Amino acid sequence: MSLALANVGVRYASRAALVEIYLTAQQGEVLAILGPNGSGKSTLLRAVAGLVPASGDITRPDAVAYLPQDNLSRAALTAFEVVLLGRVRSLAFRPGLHDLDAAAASLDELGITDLAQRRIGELSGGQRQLVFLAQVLAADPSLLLLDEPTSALDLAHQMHVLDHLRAATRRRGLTTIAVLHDLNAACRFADRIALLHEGRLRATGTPAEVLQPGLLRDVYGVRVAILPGPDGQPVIVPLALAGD
Amino acid sequence: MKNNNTHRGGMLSRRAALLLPLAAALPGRARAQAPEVIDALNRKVPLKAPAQRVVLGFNFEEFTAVAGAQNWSRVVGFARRQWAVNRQAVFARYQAAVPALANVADVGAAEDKSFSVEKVLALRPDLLVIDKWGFTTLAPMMTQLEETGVPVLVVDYQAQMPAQHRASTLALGGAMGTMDRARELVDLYADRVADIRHRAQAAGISPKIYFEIGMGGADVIGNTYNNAIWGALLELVGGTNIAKGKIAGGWGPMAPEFVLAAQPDFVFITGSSWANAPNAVRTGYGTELETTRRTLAPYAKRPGWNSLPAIRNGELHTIEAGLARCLMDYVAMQYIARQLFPDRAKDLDPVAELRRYHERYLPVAFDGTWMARLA
Amino acid sequence: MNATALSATTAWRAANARRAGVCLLGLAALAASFAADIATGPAMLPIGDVLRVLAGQNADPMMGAIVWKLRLPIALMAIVVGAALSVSGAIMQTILHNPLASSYTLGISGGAGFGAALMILVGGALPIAQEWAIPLGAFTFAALACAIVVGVGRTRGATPELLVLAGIACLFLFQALLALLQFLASPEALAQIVFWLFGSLLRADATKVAIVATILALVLPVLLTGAWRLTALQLGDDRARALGVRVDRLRLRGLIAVSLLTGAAVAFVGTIGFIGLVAPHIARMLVGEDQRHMLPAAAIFGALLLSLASVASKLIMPGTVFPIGIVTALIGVPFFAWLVLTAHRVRR
Repeated sequence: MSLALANVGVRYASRAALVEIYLTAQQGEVLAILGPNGSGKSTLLRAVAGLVPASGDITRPDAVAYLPQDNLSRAALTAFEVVLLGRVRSLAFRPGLHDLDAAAASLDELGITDLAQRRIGELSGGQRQLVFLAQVLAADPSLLLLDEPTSALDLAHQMHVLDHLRAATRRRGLTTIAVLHDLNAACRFADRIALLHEGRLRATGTPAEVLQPGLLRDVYGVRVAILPGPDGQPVIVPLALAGD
Repeated sequence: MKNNNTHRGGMLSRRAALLLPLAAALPGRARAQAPEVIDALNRKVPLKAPAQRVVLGFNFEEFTAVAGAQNWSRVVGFARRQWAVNRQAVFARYQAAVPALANVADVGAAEDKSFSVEKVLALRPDLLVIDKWGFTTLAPMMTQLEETGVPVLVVDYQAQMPAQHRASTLALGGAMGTMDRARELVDLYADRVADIRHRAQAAGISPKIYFEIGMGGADVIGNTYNNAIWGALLELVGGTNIAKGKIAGGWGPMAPEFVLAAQPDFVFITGSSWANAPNAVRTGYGTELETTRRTLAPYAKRPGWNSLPAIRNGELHTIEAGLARCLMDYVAMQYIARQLFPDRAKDLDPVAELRRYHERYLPVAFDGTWMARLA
Repeated sequence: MNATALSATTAWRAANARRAGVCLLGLAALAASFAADIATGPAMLPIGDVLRVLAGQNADPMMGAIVWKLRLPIALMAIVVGAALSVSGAIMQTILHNPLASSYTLGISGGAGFGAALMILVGGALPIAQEWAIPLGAFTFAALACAIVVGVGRTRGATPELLVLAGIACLFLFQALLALLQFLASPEALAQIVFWLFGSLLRADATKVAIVATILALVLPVLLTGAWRLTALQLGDDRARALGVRVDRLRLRGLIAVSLLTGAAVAFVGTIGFIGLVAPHIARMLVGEDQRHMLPAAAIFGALLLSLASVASKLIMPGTVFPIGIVTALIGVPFFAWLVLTAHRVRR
């Protein structure tokens, strides 16, 4: 396995944001992290990325790339430059061929080479997200951490991004961990799901294993119906708030 | 010529002093050897010969007295504003009396930051004469000028110290090659001042005095003086300056309550011919006594001033502001002495002194009202 | 690598070449402005004479003095100070994520003004010549203001908001102290202080130019080694950290660079505004945000702006030198109005 968390916890000033997290992930798999607001999803990602101090053991590969949530950008940089910045840790003043090729390849992989010279501020939300995805891929990571990569996107772009994400994961043998808010998207694109609730891991497993009505009602406070979808994956339909 | 009859103790009678020989005052004669010139800040001024192309920053009347009016032909530049705007009436007179003035270029003044090193250099001067205030304010430019080979001579009549007056006057005389005239002025000044101080000491009293600049009129609290300019001058005469130590810096406005609390015996409001000062007290060339009194009168009516001994005893006076910081300031001292110790100073005649000074050393005739009591 | 991917790299290289070209054009304009700066002045010397002096064929010491000792240092000072202020402004705007940031916002200019005034009042007691004590005082207190802000940043986290708050507190502190000094000063000292604070290139000489130039020559290359990290910072603190940039360290180092550049500039020419605000924006509009191009462009266009202002200040009223701070304000204010109006349109 390429990622292992053992008894990981994160404390902020007055409260515990994460408690007793045990989690593993493999190469080539997409792991979705789900849970209600405030359950610690972003914190978990940042702990794995090493951006917040955490107790416990985290075993991770060296090349980690982290894509934060907010994709608003007013910088007057072109898409190519943004992608090139993915390699900023090793960029020389005059970027070598190695770096330039990696950037170009990354754009190509996601099919957005035609956006290369466009300013990032001029692109649509979906296009921007693809550019940032290309950015993190350009760094040639082993572990990819994405915080709600599709929350601001329309349907078509959501599918576009998630498709590319899964393809890149398989092709490059990445370990991809994505915080998703959309349960159905998680069903379709993730290999495994980790469900968080109030800082604790309530369940890990395949979508079918984790997304049980009882568990979902407990965690989300919503009654749902789980129906078989047309392509074999379950479809989750929210019905009503649990109290009613 | 000067000899050891001139003791500082005032042994020489005034009449004898006035008969000092004129032979020494030959102006404009260049001497062969390099003059040794030490200016008022004790700096050695590197002149190779008496200056032929002078730029003047201030103290134009002193220059005229020491060098002689005809030596204005050796002046190539001056700070016009300090004369034409600040002492309008004076400048007008000199323009009429000194034709060479028309050809003197304006190099800008220190007080409004318009002084231009480039303009000075373009006139190819061999000497810059400037007052101490201008010298310190424009320090970087002074360095620039000295580095390009223009000697700078600093005069300091503002310190109101006889020693600085003497050093400044002798320096000017040496620089212009009119040492004899300079020495004559220095001795005249020393003699007069010693005389006044002698009388003051004999009087043995030190009345309280308040000085204020009358530029803004009675409704404006003008600057008074700490231990500079009039403040220093009145102490030389033996008075007590009520503003001493009460204001920060050398001069500035003092709160009216202080004046009332101090109860000065004498109040002097300085007047002049400032441009753009409609309410000012008017003194100087061409000013009638009635005008002076009329512009001075409002001061007697300042709130609470009728309680001051000065007002009650009719000791509200005006003196021309231009009489401080110059070689003629001993005349102002004489006038003040006459008010402070009338018994001891009855025979002093400051107006006559002014007239004589003008006749002897300046190209303009003396007239107008330069000091007066509010009747 | 397929054809389209190759073309992305080629297109990027082409863009870079264009940007370098813009910088070269800027340099050419700068050379022209420099020449005009030397050719103009209150003494209204004929151009032919000036050229003769520069060519070494001049026998007139007065002309030589004016051109070599006055005009040349002034023209050079305009260039190095313009560059220093502009680079300083550019770094400030980058690390604070604020297009309106300047050396005033962080209290650095305030510290410089106070330091100079202090030296004017008490510098006579020190064994250094007044002429050097004043710039030294200005520089020291600019550094002190910066140290205070950096200190706050180190102990409480270097977020832009906190740094700006600390900087403004610094600014108010030093302005109040300056007012106190002015109150206590004698009229001569007060006049000196006012004269010194008033922005002016006229006090320049060869040594002072050399000092500012040296500081610029040392600081700019160091900034350029971190150019990619500064560019990454444009994407936001979070993203930059995610990419591996040590944001806090970068910000604090940027502050030190700003303090050095601004301190050096203000120490010798007083406070000249708007260059640090306007020139980086011009650079950004012309060459984009890649700091490898943007910082040199900021230097070039800052130098150009101040050089042009210097020429303008001599031409507005022939025979006198118009205060250069007013000229830069006359350029800066309409520019800002334009910035505000266009920014609104772009934001949609």
